[in-house]
Amino acid sequence: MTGILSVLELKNDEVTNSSLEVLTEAKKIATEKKQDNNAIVIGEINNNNVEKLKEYGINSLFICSTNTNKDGRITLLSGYSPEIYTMAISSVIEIIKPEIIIFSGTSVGKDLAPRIAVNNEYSIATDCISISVKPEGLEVKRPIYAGKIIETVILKTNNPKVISLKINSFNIKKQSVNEPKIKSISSNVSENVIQHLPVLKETIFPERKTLDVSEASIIVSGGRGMKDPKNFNIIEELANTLNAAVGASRAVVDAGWRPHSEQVGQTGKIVSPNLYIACGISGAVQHQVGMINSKCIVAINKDKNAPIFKFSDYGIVGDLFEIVPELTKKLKVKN
Amino acid sequence: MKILICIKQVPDTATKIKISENKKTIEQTSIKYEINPYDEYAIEEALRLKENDPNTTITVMSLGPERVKQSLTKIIAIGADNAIHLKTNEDIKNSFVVAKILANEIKKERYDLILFGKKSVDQDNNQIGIMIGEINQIPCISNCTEFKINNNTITAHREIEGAIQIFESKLPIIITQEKGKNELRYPSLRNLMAAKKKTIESIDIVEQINDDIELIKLEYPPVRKEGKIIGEGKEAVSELVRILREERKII
Repeated sequence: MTGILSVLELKNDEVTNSSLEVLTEAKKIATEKKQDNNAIVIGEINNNNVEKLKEYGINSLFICSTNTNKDGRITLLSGYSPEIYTMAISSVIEIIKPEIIIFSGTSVGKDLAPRIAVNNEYSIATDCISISVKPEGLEVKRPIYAGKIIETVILKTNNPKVISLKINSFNIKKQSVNEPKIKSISSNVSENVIQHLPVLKETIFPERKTLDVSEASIIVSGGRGMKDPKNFNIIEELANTLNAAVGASRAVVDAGWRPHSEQVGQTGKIVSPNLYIACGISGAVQHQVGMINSKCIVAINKDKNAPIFKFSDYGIVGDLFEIVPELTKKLKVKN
Repeated sequence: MKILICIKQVPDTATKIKISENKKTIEQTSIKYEINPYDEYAIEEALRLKENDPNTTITVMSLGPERVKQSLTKIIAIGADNAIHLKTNEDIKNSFVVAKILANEIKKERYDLILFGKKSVDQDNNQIGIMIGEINQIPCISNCTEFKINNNTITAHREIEGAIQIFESKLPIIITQEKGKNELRYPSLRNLMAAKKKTIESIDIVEQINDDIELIKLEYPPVRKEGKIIGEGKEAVSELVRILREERKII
């Protein structure tokens, strides 16, 4: 039981930024513990991305892009399958017997980490925001109660550990280029088993290509102060100008004005972008916990006593229907 | 069809959480406990399935202290058929232990559909439903906003970053519910009174110790210092743009 295993994810043929956060953290832990730093990527990875990964100090890179049936027939993996992905990761675990397995806190990582932990009886901590190596084990901090409280726990040494990192919570740092050993592996799930597993039939993308709030570095959000769903066009224009994602408060999602995927808050996404612009959002606790960790918060609200101003870096009091278009206009000029 | 919903009670999302002096627990006195919001969406989906197919039975199960009975009664009042209370002295934090206890109870019956909220909004683990799927060898589709069932086949919408995945599977299945479109209905006073007379099956749970994970401390997140109001109306926009571009260099 030694070494780190990072589970990397691909999106649109690129290694995701959250995977690079995982790799940076993995390298730090591996260096400190003087252990091997390994990674697995599931799916087809192109050469450009393999090149890119050489800057993250990986010793062995496992690539799993196929499944092998009992009769030896090999098929390409297509689409996400929790069971097959779990099997692929398990087969690498069997080879290298890592002490620490690190996932991103994405929809994939959140789905796979508990499977790996429970199947192997490893201890698990999800959505960690800091990790430190201690003599007693691995100490992690993680937000609970939607971030109202931060807990510090130790995953003790006697057992391998599975952790996932809250996205956008760690830095990405390149290392000097090294050549990882590249090992192709194949998952081994027999066709009889596959027939009984859930199958991904289709992936539906929104009509307009939009950024997701959980991944965007800038978010422009609207709340009840938008008065009407049609008025979100000014939010969308500002978001387009900034290459930002559109966010929403619970009130406007519950009213059916915006999809739930845009909701920021306790029953929506917990985000930490570089810049969060809240328009017509009063700042109820429900919303606050979802965005309080943004690096910079700007609030635009007509009520100067709105709670949102209490935790915003910069505020403008006034009519958002004048202010937001003006902001878009000013930003377009110099960009 | 037999549906099971596993629910947890959590502090109401508007509750201010206070850390106790020992820095390891939270103050219980001011907390109002409610059904976990994601579980509520799951319950509503189950009730709608039952409306469409009267042969459906809904069982609701909860692991926790005496207080969870109140939530079980409420769910009976809006349409669940049975309730099972897995009784403990307090909430168990270790997700592993929780998953094992629930998996063991779930195994005793053959359910076609087992529903969980995608996470409880107290520990924010995102683990239990998925773990139980692995332990009991039942496929689990996590993070679903909606699903429909037709002839023993479920079609579920799984929300991922910036897209929806449509999964198809045979029953039995475990679904972990993301926020859905349908809010949980309220019980009528009459149904609530009737539900109070119904017996809730109670099973005492012997708490297992798992000390793999040790809690060191709880703390509040760093306080954000109050910012400044740059100005009023659209005249203030130039200054905001200058700050964001020149001082903060974030755009």
